[in-house]
Amino acid sequence: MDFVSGKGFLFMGLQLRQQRWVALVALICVAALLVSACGETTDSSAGASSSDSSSEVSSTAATSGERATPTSAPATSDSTATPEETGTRTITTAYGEVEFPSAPERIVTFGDLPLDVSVALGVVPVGASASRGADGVAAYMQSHVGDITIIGTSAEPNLETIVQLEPHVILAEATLQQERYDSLSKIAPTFVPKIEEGQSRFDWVALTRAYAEVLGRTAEVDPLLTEVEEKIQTLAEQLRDQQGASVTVMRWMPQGPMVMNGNLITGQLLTKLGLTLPEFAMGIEGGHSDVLSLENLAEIDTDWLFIATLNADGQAALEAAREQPAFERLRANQADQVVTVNGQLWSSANGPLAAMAILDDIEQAMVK
Amino acid sequence: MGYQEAATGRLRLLPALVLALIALVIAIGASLAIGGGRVGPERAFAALLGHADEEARFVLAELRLPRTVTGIVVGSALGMAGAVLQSTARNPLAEPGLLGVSAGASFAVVVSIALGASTGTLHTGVAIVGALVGCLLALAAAHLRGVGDDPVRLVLAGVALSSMLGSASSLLLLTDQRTRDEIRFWTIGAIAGRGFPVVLDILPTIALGIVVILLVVRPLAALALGEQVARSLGHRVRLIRIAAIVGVALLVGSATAAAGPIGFVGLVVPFAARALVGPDVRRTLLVCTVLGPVMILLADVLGRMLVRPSELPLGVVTAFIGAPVLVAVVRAHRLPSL
Repeated sequence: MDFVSGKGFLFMGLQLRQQRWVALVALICVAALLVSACGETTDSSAGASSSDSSSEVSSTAATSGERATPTSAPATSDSTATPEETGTRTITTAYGEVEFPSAPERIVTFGDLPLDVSVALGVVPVGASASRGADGVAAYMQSHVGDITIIGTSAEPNLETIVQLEPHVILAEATLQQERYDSLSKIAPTFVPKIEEGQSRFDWVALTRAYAEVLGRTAEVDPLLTEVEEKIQTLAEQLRDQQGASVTVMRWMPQGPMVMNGNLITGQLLTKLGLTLPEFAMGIEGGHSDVLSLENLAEIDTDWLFIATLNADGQAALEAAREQPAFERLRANQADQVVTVNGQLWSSANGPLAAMAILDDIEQAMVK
Repeated sequence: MGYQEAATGRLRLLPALVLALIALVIAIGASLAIGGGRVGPERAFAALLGHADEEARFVLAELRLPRTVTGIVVGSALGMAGAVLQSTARNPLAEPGLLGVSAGASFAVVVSIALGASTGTLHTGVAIVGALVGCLLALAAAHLRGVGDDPVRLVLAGVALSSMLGSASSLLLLTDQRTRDEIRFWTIGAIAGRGFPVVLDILPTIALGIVVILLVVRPLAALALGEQVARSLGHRVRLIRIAAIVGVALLVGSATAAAGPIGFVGLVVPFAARALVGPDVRRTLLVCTVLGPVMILLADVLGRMLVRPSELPLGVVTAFIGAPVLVAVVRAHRLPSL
């Protein structure tokens, strides 16, 4: 639409007398742009308020379930008062000792891991940050949370939305910055896990336990982790004839691959299954490497390739990659062992439910 | 050719051209010999002579040669576009990016990614159309008030339009996380992994752009003497300017479509060319055609060497080289008036 009126500009502009028309058209264009932008916001806020009420329902449902099987609150809580109102306990966080309610019901989560843990433990948050590269939560999480209120990205949260949700507790990832913590902790007690000396910041099991403690659900977390462990055992058994096979998880760009950090949950699971990841993947500092030179594909020329795409159409991405001779030449491609997987799940998601979903993907791809 | 006498540059055209060609040969050699991987110059030259191992042969034939060819085409296009645009706008600081060309191309790419494409599967036609539309809009906006054909007005309109398209892109990116993630890899230009299919895609529009520019280069040179002079020589000033700018848009749009936005080449290369052969656009155009690829290839080679085993994208390196050069030139010389 803009382009059409643009050609109008060209022809009309040649005539001096019609300049008012041009100004008018320009004004209409700008107005249209603004209206469409505003429409977007009102849409999403309307969606937000409706989802607000529905997630409230689901969270109360979850808490009534919780009351049926009371979890032992730590000793600090006042036994005479109802735990929802006055019971609190002190938990050590990355930003010092913080008082948390014993059985928080309204949770807001920042990042994929706390969302995953909360949902897995039966407390559907009232609000969550969007997953990496998405407008909502990761696809595997969608069916669990319905139309949950999205509070923005973890980099740019909408603080007003969070205030409206009236959370009892905010669960954030260990990477939360001080500045952000300062504003969030004014809204509700905010939990940022403290990474102890010698503890890996990628240790999702330890972090899952930490969030479970804040949620007051330490008893429920063990069966959950056992379930994941059992799934790993079964799958490792099924993959016995492929023990030691090498696997790379990456995103493929025309200028080369971005290799996923092998220390993330995907790498941990693959390793536990008896598979190996290239040295290069284990040495990456952040979430993924810079774009690796196409001349250095030998570094990641593994038996299997898992290509994460944020685009729903993984097949198209794969076909585009196959047009490149450097990709065509990779061992995994020649053995037809290239798998496209969901980028949110494989590069960003974390937690027990994510682990089950990733293991499902691996099973589907690798078990013959 | 009799322009040599009038030249204010330090060299005559022929020696300057020879010098530039020697630089190009060196740059091509470096681009083939040096890479981010294990194939060093020795193995690369052995592969060139036809007796090398399989890996060296592959790296040379399938990786370095295609990106070198892409670099030559993209560099020539940007160099020529810069020379013509600066002459048309009569402003030594005019850069193709200022015309709304890059912003138009970026906006088109953002829209198509938002509609579901991904960086891997993007068609080059999208960026070319975006570049042309952006440029036409800038032209139209410059004519809005119907007052003559002031080149300064054109540049101002281009800047305003670029900002508008830029914010429209930002608006889309803000509301669409996936697009934001995908676009990161497009907004910094690179020629790695761009091969012959991409070059073939853009060749028609590049050829068209060159034809348009060759048609107007002589009148453009007359225009440099002043509008009155050009008119008295029988040239149609407005037509010439529009044609020149359409030619520039075709070239920059094609280059952007192939490699993403690459800054500073269209700015720095004409500077160097003018220092060599003076301000006459017919001469700078020729030299720019050769010097553009030199800058692109050398920047690309640098990008391969700096962060092994990864690579720095070309757009980052040209900005790093280009910005200081620009500042140095502006500080050292009184700007030439064109």
